[in-house]
Amino acid sequence: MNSNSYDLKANKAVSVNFKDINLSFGKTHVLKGINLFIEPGELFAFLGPSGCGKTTLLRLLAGFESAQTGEVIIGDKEVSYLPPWQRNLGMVFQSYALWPHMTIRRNVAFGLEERHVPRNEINRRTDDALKLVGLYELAERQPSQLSGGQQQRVALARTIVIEPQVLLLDEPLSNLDAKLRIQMRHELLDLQRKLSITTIFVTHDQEEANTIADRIALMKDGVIQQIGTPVELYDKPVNRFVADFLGTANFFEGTLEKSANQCVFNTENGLSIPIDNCSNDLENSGCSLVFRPQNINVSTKKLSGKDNSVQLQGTIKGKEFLGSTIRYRLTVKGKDVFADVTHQQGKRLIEDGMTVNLGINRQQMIVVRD
Amino acid sequence: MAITAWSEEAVSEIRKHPGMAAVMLLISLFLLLFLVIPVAQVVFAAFLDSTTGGFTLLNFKDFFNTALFRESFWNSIYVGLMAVVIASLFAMPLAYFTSRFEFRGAVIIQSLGIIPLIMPPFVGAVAMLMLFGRNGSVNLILDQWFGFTIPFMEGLNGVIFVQSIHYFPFILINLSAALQNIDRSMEESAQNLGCSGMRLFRRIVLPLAMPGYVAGASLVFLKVFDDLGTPLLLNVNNMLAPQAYLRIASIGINDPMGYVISVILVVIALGSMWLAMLSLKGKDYATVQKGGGGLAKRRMRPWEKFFAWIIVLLIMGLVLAPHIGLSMLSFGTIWSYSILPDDFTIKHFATIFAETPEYMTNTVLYSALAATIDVILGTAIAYIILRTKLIGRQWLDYVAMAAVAIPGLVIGIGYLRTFYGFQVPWLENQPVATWWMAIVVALAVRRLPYALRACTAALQQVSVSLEESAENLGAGKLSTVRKIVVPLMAGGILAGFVTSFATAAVELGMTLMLVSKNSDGPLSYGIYVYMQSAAGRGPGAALGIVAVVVVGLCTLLSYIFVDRRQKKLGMGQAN
Repeated sequence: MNSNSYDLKANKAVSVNFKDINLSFGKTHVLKGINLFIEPGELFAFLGPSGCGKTTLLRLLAGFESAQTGEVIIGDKEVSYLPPWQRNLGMVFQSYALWPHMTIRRNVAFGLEERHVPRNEINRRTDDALKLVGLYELAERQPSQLSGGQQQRVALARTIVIEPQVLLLDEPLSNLDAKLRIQMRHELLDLQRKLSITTIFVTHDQEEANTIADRIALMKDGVIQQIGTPVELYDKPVNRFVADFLGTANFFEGTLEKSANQCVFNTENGLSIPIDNCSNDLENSGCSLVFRPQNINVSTKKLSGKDNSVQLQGTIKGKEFLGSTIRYRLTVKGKDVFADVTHQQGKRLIEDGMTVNLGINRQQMIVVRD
Repeated sequence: MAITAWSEEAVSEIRKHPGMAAVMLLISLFLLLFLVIPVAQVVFAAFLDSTTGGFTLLNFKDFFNTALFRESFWNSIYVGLMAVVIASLFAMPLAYFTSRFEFRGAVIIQSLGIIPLIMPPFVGAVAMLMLFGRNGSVNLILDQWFGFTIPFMEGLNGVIFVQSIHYFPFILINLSAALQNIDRSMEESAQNLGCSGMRLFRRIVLPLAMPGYVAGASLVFLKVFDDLGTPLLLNVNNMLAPQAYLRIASIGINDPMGYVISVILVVIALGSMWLAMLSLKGKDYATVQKGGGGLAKRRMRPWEKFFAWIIVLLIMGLVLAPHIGLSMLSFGTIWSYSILPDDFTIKHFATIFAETPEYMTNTVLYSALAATIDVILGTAIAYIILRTKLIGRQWLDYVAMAAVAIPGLVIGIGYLRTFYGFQVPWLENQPVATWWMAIVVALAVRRLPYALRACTAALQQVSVSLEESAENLGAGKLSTVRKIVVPLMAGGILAGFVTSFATAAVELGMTLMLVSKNSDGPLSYGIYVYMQSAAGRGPGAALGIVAVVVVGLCTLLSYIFVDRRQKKLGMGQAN
């Protein structure tokens, strides 16, 4: 990859702004009051379970759906009423959508031909794009002769060759096998950094979002639940859904009780747990106490209570071997709780049925809305 | 509130596809003018009191008070049902052999599913008379050797015999597809739960295959019930379609009986489709799961193989009989009261090419024009149905498909009634109804369902994201359709063209009504005219051979083309 037009890319990344978007398909309200600002040059993820509206939001940006209310602004231009072909956004489809009746070269050149770019420039830029994704040698093949990973690269090349303002990726890695997926993840990240182009990708895989996204919008039922960096979403979830969707979490349902200078969380199964930092608005509403498996100290011996941790007792019901850790399934007053213990060679496992002491640092426990 | 929201959506959809909305309007007008109004005119005329001009049921009362019409009615029903029974007798063992056993004859059976369809039944009818008639080859042999004869072709038997040989592939194809679509796990789970043998067949396999059988059987009934050509050529006139034709041809287009019979034909046709749909309601099993499909197959035991081959060869003989008979008739000199023609000659072919080449050129012209109209309309309608949400698109589909249930004869009568009063402005004394372009339009309307189905299937295979990615990269709607959609649909469009072309080339019922002079007649009309006299049978058969060759070649070529293309694009796996 020597002298190539993509090496000299000037940074002209644009922002994307969704304002008060509401979209319905017939009677189904698919996007509800979406407000979202994506910074220029950001690698941004729409994350959520299937049916949450993340793909619809991406397709709305691309111009394939139209919202009943709201505005979509790219850079400083409102595009809500522009047809897809006038938006200059590059979208890579989940199925790659390579045209089977055209060679790889013709697939990649298509967007430039539609823009009536001079022939010699089309050839040069097509070559550059194919070299960038490492498929220059396969340019004359038909799409059906390529592997899944190669097809994906063609789809990428076809999209970036038109130098789109924003790159849109719809579940870009879901059709690849596990190993290739991780490799492509890094390639995508490298490419995005190299082009410094605002990029939005849709995924249902939290690991995928966590590893490469600058920021994530986590969605459910057409509503953005939380926007933030992966660490923010993991450490400071705003509600039970966010906490549950990212990683594994333990929940105790109950109510928050606030006295003079101390909060206490009363669980439904009869525990009273003191809470360090609690906000007012959670009082008297249904909420849950959240703590992660890796923050539980499991011991067969009595734990010293001096490290400001909450002390509980539980019974081992089973265990899963995850390699680096052992995940114990316990019951604490009738509630299932997962606790992770680092695994080391030769370390004795705790037998099922044993009663153990659990210590959880109060800093690691937070109360969230249900 | 709901209504305003609905209309708002309708308006916004029209704004989204202004071009398509205009196209939809044009197609709707075309179908209204050339399908809905002519058929409505026929229905209207059936209920019209010829003296007062008011509504009346008197015509229907007259119909059922006339012994000949009552007889014709029951004869048509009887022939339709018996054709289904006989066709099922042919189709069931063949479908069973291929789906249940490792059987070497499977290729032959597949060919048997196609061969009859490339020759319309009326073309083979006279040839079958020569082979199986009272003094035909088979009965002459039987009489000489065993001293008895079988009345294969006597009266209604002839119609049933010819039609069931021609139409049994509809049942064979549908039934085989249904059997092959039964997932092996359906059978295996029944076996796992203790069910086997005939009981397994009766409780699991048969019910799962039933939708396919009913679909095929209802189609056979419909086709046989409506067919005009076969009874006419076999000189069986006491059936509904011939009665309608003879009334209009001999008394004129103001005779109400032609319309009454037309209405009855349409009602029974729609009724049989409706019954078939009713019996299939909620039984559209899509049982093939990922992995293996089809029932478990086993090798045949020697005696099973023996019987299977006998049955297959017997059916093959019957299926090929019209083709063999027609060939002998076209190459034979005189063939009467003898097992084979006296001598062979090519003079019949010389006759048709020298005297009546217009039959062939007309056929190619009419069918090609009609098929072109069909694929253009078919592609446009398929696009409107699958890619837009324009209000009323479903109705467009229903109306276009309804032509399947309207007998060609009825469309022909409708055109006469509707367009006879109008003159072609630049031609002298040329009513629109009997102008050759009217034949083309009528053929196009009648064959539209075939092309539409092919185009819809082709467009369904083109993933929407292939279009969206083109739009995303800067291609407008028109450019996307031209560069992406149509090239990817090419195989399906061609298949639709060929099906329309091939079936239009051998349409008889409608052309008989609309052709006003021999020089405007297509092949099917020519065959009918020639076959009227004993002397014309040779040239008529030669025309029939030409029709079969044209239809067969078109089918073969398009099959090769589509197959190659599919392989080249790697479709089916890629998207």
